[in-house]
Amino acid sequence: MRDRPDGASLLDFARTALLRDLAPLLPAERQHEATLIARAMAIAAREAAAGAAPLVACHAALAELYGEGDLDTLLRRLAAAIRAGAYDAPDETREPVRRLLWAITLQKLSESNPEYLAASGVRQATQNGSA
Amino acid sequence: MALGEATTRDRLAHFLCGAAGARAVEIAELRRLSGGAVQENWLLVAAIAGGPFAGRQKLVLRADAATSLSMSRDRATEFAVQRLVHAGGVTVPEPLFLCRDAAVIGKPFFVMRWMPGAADGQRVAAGELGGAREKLAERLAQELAALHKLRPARDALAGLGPPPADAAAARLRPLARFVEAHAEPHPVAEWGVRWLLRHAPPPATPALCHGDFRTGNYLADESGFTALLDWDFAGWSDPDEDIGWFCLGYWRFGAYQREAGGLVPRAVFHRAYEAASGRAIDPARARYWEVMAALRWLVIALEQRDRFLRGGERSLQLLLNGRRPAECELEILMLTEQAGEAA
Repeated sequence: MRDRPDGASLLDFARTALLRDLAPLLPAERQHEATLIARAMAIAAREAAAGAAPLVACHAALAELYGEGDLDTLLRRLAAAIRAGAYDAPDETREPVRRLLWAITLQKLSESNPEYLAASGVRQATQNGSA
Repeated sequence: MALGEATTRDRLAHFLCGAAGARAVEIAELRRLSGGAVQENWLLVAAIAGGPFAGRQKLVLRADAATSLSMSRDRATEFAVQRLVHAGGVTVPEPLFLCRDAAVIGKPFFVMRWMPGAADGQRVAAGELGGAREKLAERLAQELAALHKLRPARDALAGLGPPPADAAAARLRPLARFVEAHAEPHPVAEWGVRWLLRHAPPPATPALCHGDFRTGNYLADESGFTALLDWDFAGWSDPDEDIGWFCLGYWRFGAYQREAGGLVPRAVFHRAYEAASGRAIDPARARYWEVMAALRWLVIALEQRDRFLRGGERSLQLLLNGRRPAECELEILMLTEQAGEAA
């Protein structure tokens, strides 16, 4: 069991306290550091909220392409196949790889920098299939 | 041998006295300026008696910071480049004295004239600094065109090495090697490498390029541009590389839709550069170099992260850059698909 509050609430409260209460008291040359700490906390919070689901989905897509293996092994196989030119030609082997690369990138960015992703306006475009 | 120590200041004053052909030099002020992870800049106010620099001089001393980057030039080369572009009419702080002798302050350094303004990219993109964005972008395009028009004698810049026969291949080779050899797999970066290999444009005549031309690397005050800084990545390349780097997503400082440095749409910047240089920008070539810029920044971000994870450098800024590659990967996917397979 765990007592309340849960980790997500603690992180959220701590981040708010840092930005709202503590940062204004810091000298100007240390303000940037507070922003960086808040950024690190926000990434960690989004990652915790997403849980293992994105990695499971990525693993499943890779297994469909390359068969069984752990995530790291399959990612290495993907990287090596791209490097070897296996997906240069615009044929039916290329399309699932292209889609997977988009999915990986959008998932990473939704945790690391969702503001950047939103500003790019890209999510909608890919859903329409015309990125 | 910290710069703040009295004995170091005495040696510095002695060096300045000789370099400035002065009778006596007194250091009135010496303090570190903010910014500069690779190089450090110090404000140096000197009271100079006698010689051509007599009077109170407001200067900047530039030296290597504690950690240096493999791609960065040494101070003597940067000094030579900055002198040359200053003489050629590019607006930079005039470099005055080079000291190769590490015995003076502990490392080589050079001294240049102080210029007004700040290099705060965030405030420039937000419109709080630099005046009207369109005017600022136009001025930057003019400065870049003036730089690319220079045709210096090669032996004047021997430290830069010979110009590459194919600037794109020369830039791509070490990036591709880094991605392949890195501890983790980077499939989207590999995708980018592959695209760059297959879509390389015909080599351009190499020009002297800034190498890190971007918002955050020029000084601006309330009314506009004041000076172009940070010549430590200068080198021979395709001039479109500077234009592509200027448009990298990260250097827009949150103003994503103003692709050119967070100031104006890229087409507006291209037009201003064309007007100033008389050289037409091929959008496909510019896009190629934007893909290269995304790959280059991805590699730099991983290198910086590794300085924390493996080099033991405890900087949260460096560590957080480990989460930057996804931004570059988005740019790689978007730009290569906009280009289309026929390109």
